[in-house]
Amino acid sequence: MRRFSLLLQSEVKQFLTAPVVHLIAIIQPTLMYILMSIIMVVPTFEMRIVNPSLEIGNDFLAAVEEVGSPIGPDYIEPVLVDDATPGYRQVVEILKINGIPTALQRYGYIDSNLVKNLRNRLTASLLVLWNIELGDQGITIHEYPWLPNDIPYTVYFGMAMIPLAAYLAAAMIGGYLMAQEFESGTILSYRLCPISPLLILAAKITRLMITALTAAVMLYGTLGLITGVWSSSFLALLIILVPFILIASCIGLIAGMVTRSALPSFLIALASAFAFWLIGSGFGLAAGFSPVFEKISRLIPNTPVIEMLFPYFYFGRQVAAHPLGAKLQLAGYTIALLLIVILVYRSIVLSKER
Amino acid sequence: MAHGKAIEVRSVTRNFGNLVAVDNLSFHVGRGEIFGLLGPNGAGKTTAINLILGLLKAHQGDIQVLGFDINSQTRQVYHRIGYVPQETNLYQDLSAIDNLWHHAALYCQDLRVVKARMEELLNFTNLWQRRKDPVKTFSGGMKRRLALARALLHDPEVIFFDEPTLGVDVQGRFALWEHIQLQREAGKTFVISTNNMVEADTLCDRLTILDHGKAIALDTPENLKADMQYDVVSIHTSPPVEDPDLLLSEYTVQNITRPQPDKLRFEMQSANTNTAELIKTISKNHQLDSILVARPSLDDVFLFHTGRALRE
Repeated sequence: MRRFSLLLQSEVKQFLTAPVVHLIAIIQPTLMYILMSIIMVVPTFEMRIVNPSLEIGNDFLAAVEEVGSPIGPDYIEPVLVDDATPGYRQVVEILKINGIPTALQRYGYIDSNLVKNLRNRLTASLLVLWNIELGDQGITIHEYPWLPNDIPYTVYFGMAMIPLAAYLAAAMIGGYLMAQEFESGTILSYRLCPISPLLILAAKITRLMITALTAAVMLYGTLGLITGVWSSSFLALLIILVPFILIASCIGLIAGMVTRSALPSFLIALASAFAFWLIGSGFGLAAGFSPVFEKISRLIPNTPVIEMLFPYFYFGRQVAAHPLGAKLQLAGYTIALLLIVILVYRSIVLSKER
Repeated sequence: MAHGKAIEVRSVTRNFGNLVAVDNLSFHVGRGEIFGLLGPNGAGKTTAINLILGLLKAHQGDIQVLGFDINSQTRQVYHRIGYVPQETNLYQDLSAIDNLWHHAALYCQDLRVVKARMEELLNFTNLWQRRKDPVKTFSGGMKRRLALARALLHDPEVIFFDEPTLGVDVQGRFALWEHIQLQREAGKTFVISTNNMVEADTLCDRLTILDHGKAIALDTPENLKADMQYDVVSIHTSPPVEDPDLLLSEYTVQNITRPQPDKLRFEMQSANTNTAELIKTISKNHQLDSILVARPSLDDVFLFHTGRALRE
């Protein structure tokens, strides 16, 4: 234990060898989140209304203003359009389906309780306006909110960035420092040392774990301060991140050992972090996209992590298609990567050059 | 010097593609000995050390270190050896003491005694006052001394020192030589590789001269030079000697070279006893400005065996 503690201390002190890389890796996701959360708070929510008659349209606009919106009338901006061209984010179309007058709504926003509530209020405006024309076929809206409170999208975005922050810190710093060991020749100390390579790797990974958790907690704190939404269990958040950080650390270390050069390993870590984030439910749950995308997304370890984090931010709501499967998948990835990093260490660092 | 062999290298060959880096190399190193691998750059010195350390696999032959086979008993060997590579592989941004702690965690079996040993070694290498400073602020000589202290930290029996004073100033060089000799007196065995003849001459109890991966001579520096049977004579005349062969025809000389137009250098049998006569011969038709008669150096030994100077 004393030896491990000394190795870990030494690893932590190597922060001094690349302070800029450390700061970039730890702070960058938080800064990115702050910036993106500002961009993503859209002050005006445009709703395109397909209306057969301009007069009705104008009446509808008045009804919308009458109903209002929970966070101010400016938030909703109804726009009259002549057709329901697919691709518009939010479309309300009045048409007859099987002879029944119907208000058909389409929207392409990322699933959010806030969006649904706003949609319902707009629907209410339509019904206030057209109930007379519908006669005894009036429609009553029953709201069955999925969540007891509205959760802004910035929460999902921030929550999905927590694994990114952890991954980026672990993989980038792991790869960079490992490659530096080759570039500066300090790897020779590891090649000739008589202690178990498992102890050396454990110290390196533990140090990356500390760094990655620091990055993740920093982002989590920022998310909470900006949105006011906090995880229902901080401990659960950390526990879910641990296997993911192990995966990231292993990928970083492998990149460092294989490339033996700081820049390529840095780029590999960066590219894999953003690829995992984008494909792995970074902007929305995998199930909300196409079935093919969902299948691909589920191959990325980010997706099970986000599905596991989700209940702790969204009132316990479960979104994983197979919660146990997600856990097993993450565990499987973790074990596989740990085995691979040991094999790579043995074959690259410890092997005799033949 | 303690009895027994610290290292035994038997008929070791190592190729890199078509290049034979080490060719059928054999030697042993006694315990408590400073053994040198002397040769020009590319002679195979570092490859030989890497083979002994087990960093490279020999294509032929076998190597034992402290009685252990380097390929099958690597861990037993690594507990007992220290290595200072040619390029000092220290963490430049960490302090001297932090570098030593890192090494201790990797190598020292008994961590309870490490602190006292660090103080002893940092004092020994005159680095105690600078122990908290980042290594990047150290001079080349200080870095080499710290690397030596690090290699000694786990109290190894054999220390491999690749080019001990490469890039070190004169003062630092003498300090390092003194440290190595003091450690030898304390019972340590050293294997050093160098292309510095003075270093090899000063430090080594025995040495092998390598050229193109082959050992071309192996003995003590004194014996290697004594085997030459020639003294080296350098003369400075005015006017310059036009026909050295004619001038020196009465003597047994070889390898006449002209380092400068008015200077001659040649090897001559029993030059010490014939100096007066040689001066008379030269002074007949030339003004002899200076004459230097010297015992052969290791460079001359190398020249004798390979036909070219060590520094070429």
